[in-house]
Amino acid sequence: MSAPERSSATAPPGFDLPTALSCLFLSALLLISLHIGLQRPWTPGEYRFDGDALQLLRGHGETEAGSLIAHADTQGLIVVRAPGVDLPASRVTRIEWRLDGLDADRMPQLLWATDDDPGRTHAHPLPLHEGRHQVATSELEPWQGKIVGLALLIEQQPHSSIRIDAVRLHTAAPGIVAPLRTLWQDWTAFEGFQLYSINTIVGSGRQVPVTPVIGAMLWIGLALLLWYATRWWRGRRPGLSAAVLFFLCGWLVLDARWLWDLYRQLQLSQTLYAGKTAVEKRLAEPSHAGASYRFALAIQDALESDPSPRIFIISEDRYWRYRLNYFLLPNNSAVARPGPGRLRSGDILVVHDDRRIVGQRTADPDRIRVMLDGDRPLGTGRILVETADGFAVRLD
Amino acid sequence: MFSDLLLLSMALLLPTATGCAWLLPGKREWRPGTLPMLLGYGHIVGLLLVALLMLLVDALGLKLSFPLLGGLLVMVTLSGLLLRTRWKSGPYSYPYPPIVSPEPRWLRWLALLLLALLLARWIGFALEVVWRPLFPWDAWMNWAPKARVWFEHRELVPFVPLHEWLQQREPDVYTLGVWHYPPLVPLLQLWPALALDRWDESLINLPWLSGGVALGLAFYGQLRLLGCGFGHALLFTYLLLSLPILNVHIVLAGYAELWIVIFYLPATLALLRWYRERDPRQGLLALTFALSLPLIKIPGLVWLASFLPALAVLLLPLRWLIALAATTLLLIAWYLAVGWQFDLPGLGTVALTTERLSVPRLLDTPLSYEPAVWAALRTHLGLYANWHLLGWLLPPILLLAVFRHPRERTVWAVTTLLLTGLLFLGLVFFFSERADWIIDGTTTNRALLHVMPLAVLLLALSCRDVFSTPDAVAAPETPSSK
Repeated sequence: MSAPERSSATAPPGFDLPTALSCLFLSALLLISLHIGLQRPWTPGEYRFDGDALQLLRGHGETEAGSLIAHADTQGLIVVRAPGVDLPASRVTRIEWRLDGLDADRMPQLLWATDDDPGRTHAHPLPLHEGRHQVATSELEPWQGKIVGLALLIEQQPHSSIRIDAVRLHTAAPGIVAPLRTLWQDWTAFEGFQLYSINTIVGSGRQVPVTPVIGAMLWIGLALLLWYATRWWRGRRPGLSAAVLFFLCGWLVLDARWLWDLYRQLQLSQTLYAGKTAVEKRLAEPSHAGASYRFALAIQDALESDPSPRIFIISEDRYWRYRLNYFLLPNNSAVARPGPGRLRSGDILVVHDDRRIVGQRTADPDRIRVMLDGDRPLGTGRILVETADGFAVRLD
Repeated sequence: MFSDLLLLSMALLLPTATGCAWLLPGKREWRPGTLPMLLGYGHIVGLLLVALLMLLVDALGLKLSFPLLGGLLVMVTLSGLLLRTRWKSGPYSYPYPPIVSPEPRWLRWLALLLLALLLARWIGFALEVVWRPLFPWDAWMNWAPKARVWFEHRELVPFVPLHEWLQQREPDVYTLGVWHYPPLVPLLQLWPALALDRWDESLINLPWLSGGVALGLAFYGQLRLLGCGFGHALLFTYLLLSLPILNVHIVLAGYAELWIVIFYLPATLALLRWYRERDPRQGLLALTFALSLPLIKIPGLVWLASFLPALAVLLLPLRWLIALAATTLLLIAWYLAVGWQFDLPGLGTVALTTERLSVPRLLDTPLSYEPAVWAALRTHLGLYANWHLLGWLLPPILLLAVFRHPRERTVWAVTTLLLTGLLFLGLVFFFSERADWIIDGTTTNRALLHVMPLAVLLLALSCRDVFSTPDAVAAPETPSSK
């Protein structure tokens, strides 16, 4: 019925695979060279923040001839920060703080944060070396990705003073490897599955100046230019095949990055969930996902012996209230803050972190009066669960 | 463990068998692509049938159970096979010459590499789905609660709005913010739970995994049957199945968007094959899939309606099409300049103006242009990884469709479908209150996911022979066009 399909080594019109691949290779080479070339402004060798540009986070002080005179607070602490730090870790080789007046037996601590977890501060002692407080970044862990915060912690006698002249970040000449490593780190930053992942996949750190998608488009665009130039030079038709091939290569590169991200997520999921029961999986979930489940479990336990026809879940935290609603199923629950006239005897109120509804103690320690907006009683009832996350009460 | 595996295999394979039994082609109709098409469509049809059977069983007042539903599926399968032996497929079997599409050898090797990449990806997806409990927001907020309750009761107990629930004395009446959402998605979650006879927050998501596979098989099979060679068809299937946002909706299962894709894209493909081959079974498939769209999500009504302009492009003579396009443009111009406002006796005022769209009891939304949506679209389509390069490729794909195969109605129909979808989304994104959800990125890609796979299909139709060697023989557009 159908004719057999034939395979052929001949090319479609206007297509020359070796030239097309050469254009791709050359395009990549040119872009990499351009990227390295753009690193030139880094060559001067240091970033410098003079004392008068530094910010005091603990203690107080004043500037004097470009230096910062910092006075320790009542606990003897001085914390001073270099403002607006946002630079690739790989470019900085050594950090040097120029201080004067430090107590001889004290060693300041270098503090920093990376873009992996900007809220987390890392610390490392800053020893006196060759008359200066300095440290090679190779000794710091973790010193990776982007450095988004840099500070110094000094413990002195209360109310004592020190002079801070400057902080200098020594950078190596970028060479070839460092910019490429930075680019690699930016583009392969692990994103993993977050709550927002179902809506969007960023595909790199959000602060990356050129995202992998843009990088791939630049690569393809330049390769296309080279391709059309060679075809024009040879007086041949450019054809569509090469353009499709170029886009396919760009797609493959992006997909390789995506697959690697999926693979790393898979490893993480294996650690979190593999071989666990349904309850263990839920409890293993990060941060407050596990906490809301723990709270729901406590309520479920209380309801097991004494089920209720209606449960009201009240929380100002949207995530919590809908999470609790799901975890409490198949109990008949509603995400709602009921008014006084809406409630019936036997109804259960589950309250988590709500400013409008609070429980007031009664003479009976097992019972609670639930108030709406401070002065409108919703009812009194027996406490089923009370934890740091909230309480559940069955109304009389 | 083994019994779970057995039950879940039955839960996934039995509907596939049912679907395949009803779609089984005649002996002489088998061509490259028929088997994957059959398996893909068979699985989707089977799952749809499971959901419809659950609605039927519940309407009859019977309790939902795997043995009962499984038994019914077996009966439907047997009746399909019986019908197949009695009713030989007739004159529709492939009325035009097969396409000879010689492909370079490197493309075939590349296609095999892409297939390996897809397989590796799917192994990872399978593990992730089996390990991970229900994760994404809407899955546990909007969809799974119904499935959870229905599983516990073994019947489709009602969900009502909160004000009704507050007045209820019935213990088996539940409430949910989205009580009115269509039932297909929770029914799909319910099916594995019924098979296992227990609620398992991970394994209820298996239809998302198998549905993704079915989508790939259906897409590949239909592309082959529409004239793509092995290498080209696999290449475009890879482009579809490697879209990160589509991947995420498979692996972080529980949202309805994937099912819109699973029904919308195969409906389009079946429509194209119906047009080219005049095979009524493909027409019936297209109709069934299109009619199922409102069962998934309320916007499914719009996607169902979007087939009307595409059908017009396929079926109307050119001069009628020009007249229709001119009329549409005039109506749009009138709307922009003046708008419509009139009273419907007993209902209220219909207002279709640039400030407000209001249809009594159906729709009432103020309209205002939100320019910040452009930035959000640029970010999500052009900078982030959601679509790989598809966002950038959208304009070239539309240009290719227009210039590469200017006389092919199938290409025009898919172009119309894509543009209709994008136009609708554009209206919603830029002019409605939903603009906030686009700017904050919570809806942008999910909404685009409904229609963007059509862009991959359009690319496949436009470039189906882009790497073919010069002696490729083009297929005629339709048998009737000769």
